[in-house]
Amino acid sequence: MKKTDHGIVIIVIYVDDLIITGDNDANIFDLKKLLKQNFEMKDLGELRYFLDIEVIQFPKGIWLLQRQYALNKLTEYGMTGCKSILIPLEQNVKLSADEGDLVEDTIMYRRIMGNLIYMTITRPDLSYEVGVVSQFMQTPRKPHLDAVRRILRYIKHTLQCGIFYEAKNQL
Amino acid sequence: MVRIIQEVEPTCFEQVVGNPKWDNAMDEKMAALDANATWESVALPEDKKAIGCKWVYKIKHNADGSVSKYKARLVAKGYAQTYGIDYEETYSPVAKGYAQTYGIDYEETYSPVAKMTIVKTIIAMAVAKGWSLHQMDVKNVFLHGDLHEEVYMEQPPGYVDQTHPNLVCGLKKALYDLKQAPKAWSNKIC
Repeated sequence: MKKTDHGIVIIVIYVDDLIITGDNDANIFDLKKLLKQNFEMKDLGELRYFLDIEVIQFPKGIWLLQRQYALNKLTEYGMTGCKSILIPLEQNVKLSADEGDLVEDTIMYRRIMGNLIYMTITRPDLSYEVGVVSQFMQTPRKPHLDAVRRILRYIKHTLQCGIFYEAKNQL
Repeated sequence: MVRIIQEVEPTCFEQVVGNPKWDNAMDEKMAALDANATWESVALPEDKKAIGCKWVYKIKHNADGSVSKYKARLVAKGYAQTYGIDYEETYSPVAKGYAQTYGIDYEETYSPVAKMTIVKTIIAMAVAKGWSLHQMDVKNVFLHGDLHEEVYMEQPPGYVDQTHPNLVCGLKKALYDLKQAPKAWSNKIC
C-alpha cells in the first residue's frame, strides 16, 4: 500500500496473482508500468477472475461468484445430472457420529469438504450446512454423505448466487 | 456451453512424448528457463548430489470452461533435499489462505499470500469508493527468486544434452518445489 499526496494505490499479492486498486487511475497505470519493467508480467486488465472467483464489475457494484468453480466440482463428482433441490438440509435431521455405514472413500469426502468450505467465500448461505457436515470428516458415514449430496444438489439449484457489493454503500 | 468431458492431464513425460500440444508447452517453458538464466550446465562436484526433476502438466481453463492453455512446469524433487546442506530456511506459502505455519505472521511481514478476507475487504472498499480494480499476474513466479545455496539438478527429461549427458544443472534461480522457492520469491518482491 502506498499513499502519497497524489492518492493511494493498494496491491494485493497472492503468490503470483496481483490485484491493484487505488483512487487515481493514472497512479495505477504508472505502477503497472513499473512492475512490468521489473518482472515479467501479464496485465490482465480489469479484475475478472481471481482464485476461482468470478468478479463481475458493473456501474451499480461488484458481484462475486463461484459459478464456474461450483460447476467444475459438480462435474468432478458426477452431480451434473442430479435433480436440483431447494433446501440444502433436511428438516429436523439429526446426524450422529456413530450411526450408519462407514463411507469407503474418506479422502473424497474430505476433498468435497475442502471445496464446500472454499465455496462459502461467496456463499454465506452454505455456512451452516457445511459446518454441520464437516464435523464428520474424521469418520464419515453414509448419512453424512447423503447430506453432502443434498448440499451439492442445492448448489446446483443456486449456481447464480453470490455476493453483491453495492456501489452506493458507504463503509 | 459447459464442457462435461474434460481432457485428462498427463502425469508424466512418457505420456506426452510426440504430442505437439505438450511439446510446445515444454519448449515454451524451457525457453523461459533459459531466458531467465535459471541454471548453467556444470559437472557435478564429487561431494554433491544432484536432485531429480520432472515435468508436471496442467490444462488451464477459461471462466467458461474452455481450454485456454496447455502448461508444462518443471519441478525439482525438493523432497530429496537435506536440511542444512541443500537449504537452510524454508517456509510454505499458505494454500487458499487458511493455515499459518511456524508462527510467522504472514500477511503483516513478508508473505506474498493474501488472506481471502483481505481480498474481499479490498474489493468492498474499492466498490464503495468507486475505484477501478485491475489484475496482473507474474509469469514463472518462482524463477524470479535468487538462490543462495548450491543446488544441483539432473537435466530435464526430454531435454538432455546429447553431447554432454553427464552434466547437471547448477541452479541459479529457484525452481518450483525446491524447498526454498517460495521464500526466494517473497524476498525478492517484498
